[in-house]
Amino acid sequence: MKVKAAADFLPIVAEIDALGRRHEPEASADPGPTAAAAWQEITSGGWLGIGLEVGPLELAEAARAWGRYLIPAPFLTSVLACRWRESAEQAAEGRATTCAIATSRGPMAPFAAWPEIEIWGQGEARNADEAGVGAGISNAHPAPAGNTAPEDFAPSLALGPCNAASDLDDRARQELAALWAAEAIGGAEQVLRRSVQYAKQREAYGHLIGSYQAVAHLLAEMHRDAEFGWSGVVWAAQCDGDAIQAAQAAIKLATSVIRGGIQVHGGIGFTWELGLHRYLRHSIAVAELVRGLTPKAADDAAPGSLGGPR
Amino acid sequence: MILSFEDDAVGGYRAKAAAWLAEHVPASWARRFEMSEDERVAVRREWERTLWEGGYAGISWPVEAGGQGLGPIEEVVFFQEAGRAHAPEELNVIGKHVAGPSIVVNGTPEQHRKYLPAILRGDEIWCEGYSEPGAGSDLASVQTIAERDGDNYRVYGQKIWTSNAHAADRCWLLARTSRELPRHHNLSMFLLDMHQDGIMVKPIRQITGESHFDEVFFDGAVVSRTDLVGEEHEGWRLATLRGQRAGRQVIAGALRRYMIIAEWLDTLRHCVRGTASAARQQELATRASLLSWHVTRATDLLASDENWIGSTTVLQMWWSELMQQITECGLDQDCLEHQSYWRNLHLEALAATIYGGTAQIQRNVVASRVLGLPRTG
Repeated sequence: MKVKAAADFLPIVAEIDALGRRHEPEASADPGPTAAAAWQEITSGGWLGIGLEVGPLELAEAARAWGRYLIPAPFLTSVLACRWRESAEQAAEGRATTCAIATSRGPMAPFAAWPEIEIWGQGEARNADEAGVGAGISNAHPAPAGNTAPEDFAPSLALGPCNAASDLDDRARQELAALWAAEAIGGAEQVLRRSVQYAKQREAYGHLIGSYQAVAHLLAEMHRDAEFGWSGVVWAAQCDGDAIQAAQAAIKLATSVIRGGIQVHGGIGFTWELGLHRYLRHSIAVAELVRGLTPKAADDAAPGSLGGPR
Repeated sequence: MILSFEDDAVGGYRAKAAAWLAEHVPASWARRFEMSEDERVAVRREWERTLWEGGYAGISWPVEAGGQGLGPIEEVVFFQEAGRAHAPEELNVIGKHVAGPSIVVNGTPEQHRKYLPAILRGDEIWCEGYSEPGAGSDLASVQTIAERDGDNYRVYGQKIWTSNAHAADRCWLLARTSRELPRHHNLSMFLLDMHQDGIMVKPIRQITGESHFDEVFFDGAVVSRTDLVGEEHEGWRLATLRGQRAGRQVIAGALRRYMIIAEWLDTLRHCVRGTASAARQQELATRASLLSWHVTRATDLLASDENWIGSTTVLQMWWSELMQQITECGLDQDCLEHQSYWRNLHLEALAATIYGGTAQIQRNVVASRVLGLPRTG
């Protein structure tokens, strides 16, 4: 059992963080051009291959760094596709891949309308015996549903409808859930940082708002939730049985941190221009996707089993 | 050697501990709810001795002090397995996790000989003489005074909320040793014999009707100068742990609560009826698992001395509120068989957000020490 990423992977995480910072979209600008520039850098730099020889916890650290900047590009799913196929070639080609997930609105894929994107399971041989195992399995090959425009709720995910969900095995579901949860926690930590910074600068009634216990305690709770959220990611990345449940718990905590951040900022936090809403939208959408990764079997599992480290 | 959770040695230690626990956890502990407080204390006292005999007392104490010479990771692993095995709660928490480790570091050779073996064997149970009616969260306001009297000190004053004072043989006592020196420079730490004249222990009846803690009145109780820990007026430093040992104490505290929480959830599972309640119970179980994972992660950070304060300072907030949420859920099930169990635990759990620094103090600590926010007004 591991509780942190290997130290020799951390320089890669730092590079991803730097890449994200370079291309972070402005809150009220069209994120399209910056996403295209980021993607160009990702593919030309061979970054899609980072998952080929590392464990899920290392990848989760990378997702955490990526999640800070909300760049609308299919980085994480493409990294996972190269990893699942063990294909350095695909990484070198810089092929964009996404996964279609069963949601209450039908199968949806992040960045379904991205140019030349491949949806996982599209065109691959499918084993009819496996049909019915996992979420949203059908024998159809997933493909974007016509010319439907992506949803505008969470631009950082650009969810688009598909005709079928990707057929993901247990390991793929687990890794996807863990990475999406890590991405959400990365975003939550960014919101926490911004909120603490704001509380140290903004004055009300002649004092810094961070000196008021009501605000300081809310920030302390946000820190607690971000900390436990990351522990949930560590759990999700490593435990076969309850990985999705752990990822869901982490995303829920991330969402709570982000909501707290909007509250700390007060009226300005509620504005479009400040952009905190983008993190909230992202984590809400990610929660819906991870719900779609839950195996049906989970409903029948013994309730309340404790998933402690072993 | 500092072990990591990744090392094979940890797996081996875990398996060995689990096997030992399976053989040694007293069967009578399963019936503790039918026991009186005195009977429960007797079982827990015996368990302390069993732990010693099995080589599980002072896991992270140095070998030269009689401990096992292992690290915080082994300690965490043992606690996790003890929780799974439904082992009795430790009785000598103050002896093994507060007074003992401090004596190891700050005590004289004579104090080592006199106290450490008895703590590890479970022969002497310790209580902690910190809080007073006017000094709870504001510990530096302690008024109990130890006055020099030849080679001894005589202690006058009152402590309150002293857990297990009625069962204790020794007290880890914080008292003033100067009326003139300023706050934080006027306190000393003593190792006080509880079996003597001049000490009156008066149980405090809690909202549960039980008495787990006491008021302790000192009227001239004697403590030898040789039982002063460190130097005179060094008490504040000894009482307010900083660094690794503080982190270990916080983690050990969280693990003890995790053991209790795991057991409560076991009971809750039998009470739950209906989908909505099952979902609520699952949510609580997930929060308990998060606690376990978080403790593991915090321990690893602590063992490698990496930025662990941010991870340890949030533990009490999490477990104290989780304990209350579980008992609330238990009450709401209206399970006839466990009604009185949940009623009592619900009342008991209200203490969790008060002792050891209230929930509000915990938040203040995170706000100032971790987030660097300006002092709260």
